[in-house]
Amino acid sequence: MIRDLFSSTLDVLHKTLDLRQQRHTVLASNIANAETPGFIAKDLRFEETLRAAATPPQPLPLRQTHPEHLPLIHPTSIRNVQGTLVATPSDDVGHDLNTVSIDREMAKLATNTLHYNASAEILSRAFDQLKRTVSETQ
Amino acid sequence: MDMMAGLQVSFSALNAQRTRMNVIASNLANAQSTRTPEGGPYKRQEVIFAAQPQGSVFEGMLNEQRRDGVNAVHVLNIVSDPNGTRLEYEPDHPDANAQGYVAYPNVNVMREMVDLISATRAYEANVTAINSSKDMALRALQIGRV
Repeated sequence: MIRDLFSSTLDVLHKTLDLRQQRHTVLASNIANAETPGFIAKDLRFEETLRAAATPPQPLPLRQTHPEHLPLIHPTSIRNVQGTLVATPSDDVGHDLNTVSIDREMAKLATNTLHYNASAEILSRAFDQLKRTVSETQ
Repeated sequence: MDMMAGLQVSFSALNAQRTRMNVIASNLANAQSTRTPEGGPYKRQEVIFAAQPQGSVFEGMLNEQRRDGVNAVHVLNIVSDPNGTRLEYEPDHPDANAQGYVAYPNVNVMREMVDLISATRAYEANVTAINSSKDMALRALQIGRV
């Protein structure tokens, strides 16, 4: 039962915050190098992988039948989701071969921060809910 | 830890842009300087930015995947613009040559102003990125606080 209490929601949120933070660093690096000749803008992609991991297919799952067994690490387990770095294509590359578009990067940064804050808020409420569940019984 | 990396990257850009602004200010201030310690008129200066991969070597080995794609920026060098000087006919000027022409610096004030605006905008973009980092860190600290 206690496993149900700490459901995969927390795992997903934890991973989301982690990946969004990594993406933020990559975007900040793009903005910092907006005028560096030859710099190629990058982005961290993880949303598809995370979504796939959050809704795993269920046929014949592997089971731990003995407590001494090594813990199962499913390849698509949420904890193992990693972002992939991709180069952002650009339509207007100047003479300095820099592919950073400052408007696009700022928009991405703002969206990413909003998503991060939203996830943090949901995580806060999840904990709030847990706390309420625990204290209501007293 | 990663949040600090983001901040460091943005700080490096603030530093670089500020250096660029100083160089532009120096170009503007010396737009009419006909004498320099090296002799001849002032030469327009230009900064060269270079990307610098983040994280120590050890950290990079341990955490290669994560640090990939994160680059700070630093000023690699400040070079003189080799383009020729601007000649103006002023026979009364003490620095005029035999034909009565004075060699003025190769500084184009309009170009410098455009560069200055560009540097200011880049600086502001990085300040925004720092504020985002700060907001995210603060928000993370509030998790679990009811």
